[in-house]
Amino acid sequence: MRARLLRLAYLLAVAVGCVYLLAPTLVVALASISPTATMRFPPTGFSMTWYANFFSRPEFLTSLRLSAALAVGVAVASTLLAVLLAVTLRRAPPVIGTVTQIAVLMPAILPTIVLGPAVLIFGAETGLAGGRTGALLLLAGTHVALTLPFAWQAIATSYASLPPMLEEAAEVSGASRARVLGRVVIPMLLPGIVAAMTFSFLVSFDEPVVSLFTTRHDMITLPTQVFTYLRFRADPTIAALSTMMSLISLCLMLVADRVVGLDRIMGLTR
Amino acid sequence: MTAPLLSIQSVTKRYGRMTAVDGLSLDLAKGEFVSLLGPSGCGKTTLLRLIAGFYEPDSGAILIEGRSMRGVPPARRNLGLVFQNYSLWPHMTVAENVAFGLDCRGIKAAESKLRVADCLALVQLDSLAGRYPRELSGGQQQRVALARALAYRPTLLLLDEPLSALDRKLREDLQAELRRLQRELGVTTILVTHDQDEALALSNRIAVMNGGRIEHLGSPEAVYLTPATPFVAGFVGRAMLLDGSVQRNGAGLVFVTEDGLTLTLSGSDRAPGPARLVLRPEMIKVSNAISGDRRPIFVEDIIFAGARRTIVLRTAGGRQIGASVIDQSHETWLKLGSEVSLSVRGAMTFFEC
Repeated sequence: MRARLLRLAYLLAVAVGCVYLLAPTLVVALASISPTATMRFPPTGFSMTWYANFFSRPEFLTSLRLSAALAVGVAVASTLLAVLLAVTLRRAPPVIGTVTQIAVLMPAILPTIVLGPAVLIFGAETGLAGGRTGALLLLAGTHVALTLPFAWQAIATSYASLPPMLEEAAEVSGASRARVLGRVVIPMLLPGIVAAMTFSFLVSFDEPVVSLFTTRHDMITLPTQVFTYLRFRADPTIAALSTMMSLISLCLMLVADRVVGLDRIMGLTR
Repeated sequence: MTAPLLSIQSVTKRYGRMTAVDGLSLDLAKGEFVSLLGPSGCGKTTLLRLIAGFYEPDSGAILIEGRSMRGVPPARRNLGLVFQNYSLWPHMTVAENVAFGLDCRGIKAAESKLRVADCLALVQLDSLAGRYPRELSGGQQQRVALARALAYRPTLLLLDEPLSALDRKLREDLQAELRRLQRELGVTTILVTHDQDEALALSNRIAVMNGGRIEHLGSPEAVYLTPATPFVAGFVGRAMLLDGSVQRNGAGLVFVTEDGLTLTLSGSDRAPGPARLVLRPEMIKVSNAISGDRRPIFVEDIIFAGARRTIVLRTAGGRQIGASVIDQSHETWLKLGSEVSLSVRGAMTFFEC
């Protein structure tokens, strides 16, 4: 009896937690279909006006292209870096492995509000932030640092479950390091790579803080654009965008989970 | 005499304070099959990995076909390696697994295809070329691993406990196949194993290893019948080491231990004096001719084991001895509790004690 009550209380707590986490997203989603010029909840009708508005504004489209391209590039770079690190560290002394791991995870712990000005000052001092290409590289580099902890987590977990003999067998067969990587390690790490790319893409795509510090008139990422727009208008366009981004995240996660099983990749199952 | 195909020259490998391989030397002639036999931790796997190039020796040299292997990575040594746990690449088919080493050597697709087919035929798996490793049994996977290691005609084939993950029947089948393959191809082979039966059945020579050194290097017969050290005697085959002394008894010799166990030695010319006798179960002959001056020995158990049976004997001194005899069930005196006397025959090995 007591056990059943406890179990009921537990389930209730989980349910409340879920509602608390999901409700704001649902409110935003519902507000996005309201035809009114300000955000209303509950919506007063059904309209796709604000979705259309988003796609008709060139500043949003430019930023969307920039953010998407940036996120794809960052995801690829970050994942590749994580794979190379994992493969190299297996052969390195344990001390070097530990130190590198701390360095890799550091950006996840460091407040972005510290990282943002740091990158800004670094860019100004080195003159890197002067040109568009330099500024873009700076932004991309910072995003790689920010996404690397996520990519690393996914890659390191799946690499750890890969028996070293499979690599050794390839080496003895006469394969160069590049061939071992391309024909054996990467194909076998594919699930981890899918997960690493998904996480990196999502983190980079809606990273607001560092982008805010490195922003230029010709280089405004989508989250920064959203921020700028919100300062002057309070119509549901942003709600429409938020809803689309939530849906994209959800879809990516579902796909990644179908392909690889996220619980396994994140090391949640024993 | 031609130069050895593989020459290991006083090689030492340490891990921190532990010495895994200790100043070990070993030469292999072309076409030889040598087993590294020893308990776990004796350094045999480390030695194999040194030959493969996964580790560099701390001192000493490894030469393959007269060429020093220092600084030569595994990929440049042209070796075949088969692991205990198959280690096939799960995302490649059987044929792709076997073709991998050929691809690395830039062999053209047409030629590669022929050689893969040849190799798979060699291990009798030609019909499974398109399958994935997970669709094969353990024995089949290990055959593929063997084909994969042989496909590019390695200078030296290294086998790291290749049969120990298989069940007994399969192990014996694959042993026979390994023998046949090795003879047919004449490929120089090193087998790491802790299974003495495997080493005895397959090798031209066996290196019995202990504590990072070779205790005895010799033919299977030599290692079994005339072990160089007590360790070899105890590790290869089943043996009991008895401390005592050889004494004259009328015309013959007997071996007497401190607790009074007396064994007749038939066919030994060992000079009387203290000695340690290597006693193997099949060297013991059980007889019902009792002489009153010996401390008694009783039959404690008789265990049927197919062609032979094991007679478990208990001495008056409390010692248990196993004798392995060819069926003596017709000898009605041999039953539980009966008193017997023991003699030892065949090639006997003594150590000083």
